[in-house]
Amino acid sequence: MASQSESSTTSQSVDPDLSSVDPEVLVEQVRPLVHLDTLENLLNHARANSLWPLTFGLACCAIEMMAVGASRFDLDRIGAGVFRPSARQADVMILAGTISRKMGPVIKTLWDQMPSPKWAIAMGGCTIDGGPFKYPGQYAIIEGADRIIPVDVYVPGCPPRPEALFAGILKLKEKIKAGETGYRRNPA
Amino acid sequence: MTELAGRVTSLDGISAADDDAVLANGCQHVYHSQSSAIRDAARLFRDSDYHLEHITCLDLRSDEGGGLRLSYQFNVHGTSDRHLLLVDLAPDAHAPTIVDIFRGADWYEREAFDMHGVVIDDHPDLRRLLMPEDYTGHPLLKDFADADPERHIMAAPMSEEDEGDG
Ligand code: SF4
Repeated sequence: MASQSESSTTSQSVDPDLSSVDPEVLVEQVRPLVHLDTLENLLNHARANSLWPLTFGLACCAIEMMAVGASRFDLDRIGAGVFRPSARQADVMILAGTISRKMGPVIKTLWDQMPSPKWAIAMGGCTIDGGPFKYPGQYAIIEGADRIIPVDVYVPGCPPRPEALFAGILKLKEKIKAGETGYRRNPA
Repeated sequence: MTELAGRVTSLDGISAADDDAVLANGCQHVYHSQSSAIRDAARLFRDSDYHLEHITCLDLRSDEGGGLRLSYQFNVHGTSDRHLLLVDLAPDAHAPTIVDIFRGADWYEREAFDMHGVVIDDHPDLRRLLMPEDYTGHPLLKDFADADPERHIMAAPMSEEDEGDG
């Protein structure tokens, strides 16, 4: 009994009155006390140089994406050629092709299953705004990948040349190295 | 007229189309059929070693009238002998399944149901094929209007901030 009442007194004595504190100041105070800037840069460098894309293609653009992975263009040169068959192992989603209405929710699920930090590249006109399949009253497609998931880099073309996708991935690497940590569940 | 074509036209509810239809369709044998005769014809083709090339549906409605048309094409290996069965239906009409005769008819019939709303009687698994399962309406009908164009679509493009702490 004695210890119980003691602990309750203790907790009362350290319990600060938060109602008078500005919420913004409070948020600032509960951020990590130590931010290792150099370590974060190092991690970003590692992330940028080992992008693991999710293995899936949606339409004709996927053929160009396969060409990028094959020997002539060779995505492994920049460390992004390890296409992963599981969303749990991937950290970049290359949306290569038309997103049909039936496929949209499936892609959203896959995106949600990818661990953060994670990035998305919209490849081709279809994933930018619906491309050639966009017309008033169309019933079949989702007009742009950014209507279901957040997109980091857009690569225009129908389909984009392999060089263009390469440029898109390099652009993403730049963004990551510059500190764009990608979508995270718990932003630091 | 080949011997098989003669046997098809002798079925109840099937008649040979005129030469114009033959020219327009590029098949050597074209028939008009009642929906009640589809199964008999399919059985006849199967027993003659023909295969099902396709089933497709058209919406032929115009100011002059017209309705839906199912077309069934049956081919055979070895000769260039193609048979086309045209079945005119009212919109919202039913048609019998031929899945138990030609297994490959399964997805064609589901497509006709999904896109044109033709209800296929006795189909073992009549679900939508191309549109999401919770979709309403049949997009290839001429009077189709999308009930919910924004289905599965966010109102505006999504940015990283939109996702919040999800
Ligand atoms: S953008 Fe062009 S090439 Fe790419 S998936 Fe769409 S239609 Fe095909």
